[in-house]
Amino acid sequence: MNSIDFPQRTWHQWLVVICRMILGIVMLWSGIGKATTLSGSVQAVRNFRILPDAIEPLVGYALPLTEIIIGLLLILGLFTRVAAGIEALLMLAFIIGIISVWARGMRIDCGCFGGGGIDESVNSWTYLRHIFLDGALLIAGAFVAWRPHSPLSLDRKLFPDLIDNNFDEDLTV
Amino acid sequence: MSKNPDSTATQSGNTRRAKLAADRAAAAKKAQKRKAWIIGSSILVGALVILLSVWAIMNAQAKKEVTSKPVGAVGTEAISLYPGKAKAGAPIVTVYSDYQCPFCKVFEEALGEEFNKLAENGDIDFQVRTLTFIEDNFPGNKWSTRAAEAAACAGISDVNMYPEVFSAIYAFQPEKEGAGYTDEALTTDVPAKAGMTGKALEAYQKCYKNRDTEGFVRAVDTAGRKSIEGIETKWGTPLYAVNGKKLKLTDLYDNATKTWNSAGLLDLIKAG
Repeated sequence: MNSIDFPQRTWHQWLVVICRMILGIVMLWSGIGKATTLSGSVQAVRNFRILPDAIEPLVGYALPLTEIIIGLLLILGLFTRVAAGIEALLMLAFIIGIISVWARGMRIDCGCFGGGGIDESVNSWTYLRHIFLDGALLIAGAFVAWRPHSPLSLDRKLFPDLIDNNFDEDLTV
Repeated sequence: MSKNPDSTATQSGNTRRAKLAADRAAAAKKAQKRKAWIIGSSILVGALVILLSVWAIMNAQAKKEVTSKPVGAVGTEAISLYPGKAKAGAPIVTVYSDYQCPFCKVFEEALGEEFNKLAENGDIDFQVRTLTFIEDNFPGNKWSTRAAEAAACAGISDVNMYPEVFSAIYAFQPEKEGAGYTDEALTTDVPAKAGMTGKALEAYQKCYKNRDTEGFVRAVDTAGRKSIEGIETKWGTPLYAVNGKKLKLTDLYDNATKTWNSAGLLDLIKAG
């Protein structure tokens, strides 16, 4: 079953690999950054003042864990579609969070890579930059979720038959 | 042609072979689906176990018993620098500070002595709420907590030198924010500057080494973060408050002479 033919265009497949690696590394990096300062991660969630007090700690702990797992899945190419989809949803949530903070005139560091807190040096440009960056990651994630098949992936090694060979209707787990 | 037995045999053979191949493909697909479910649910279960353990550990830490606390402890929320000295009706002045915060040092050096004098006279009840949020910005940095633990150790009954150590710690604050204190500075330099000797010094160092005040400092930090958010949404340290309202200490600064009008402190406090 290893000689299966994947009719997706080659350059397209490698673009997916590049997106997977970039997204995976960013996710892994930000997850590890948060995991090394867990109380900071909770505080960063709290700073946004969006969620109810009671679930802030849970989100603060779950976020780095989710990011690390999603990052690893993307790099390994395992459950690529699901992982990329979750990545895109996370980015969407972050963008909404940043816009909400910005609209309320608060100045906080996003805590995107760990840390976070009140930061007077934060201005509209900081928020715009974050929205732009997260937006780019959102688009890349959505793209990978749309066409997840790519070389160097465990999906191909483990579930070659679950991948529909048709370029137009490819579907995976 | 249809009468040709050979051809019929080949055809049915082809169908059979095709059916066999289709069956095999379906079986392979089913096996892979099963594999996907097993791997997927293992990852989910593993993640859930990790998450629950982290939560349980963090909760246990947060509830860590307050084994040892300073004489001036106000519940597990603040430390009164001169407990029992305040006259009836004297305002409570609270400073929210982090030992790694550069401006806390600036304010303490400018007005700390005046605050202490007022508190010693009983004109105010001067209370400190030590926060540890600055270390959250520097991975691996534990020095907001350790410095606060050291200060709390200076407040236990065997030592009882909280005000002296409170200002002495700032004297050894590293110039670069986040560079962090050292164990040596907190156990040797700080008590030396505060004038701590003999049995008190021993008790202080033992308390610091054993982290006896860890639970207390954590409780103060948790309560402090909640409390400061109630005073100001965009909070930062140091924040001085009188009976829960922010005190504008910068009114005492004269830009022309670059000096602090410390004599006006009590009036400012009384004005609220």
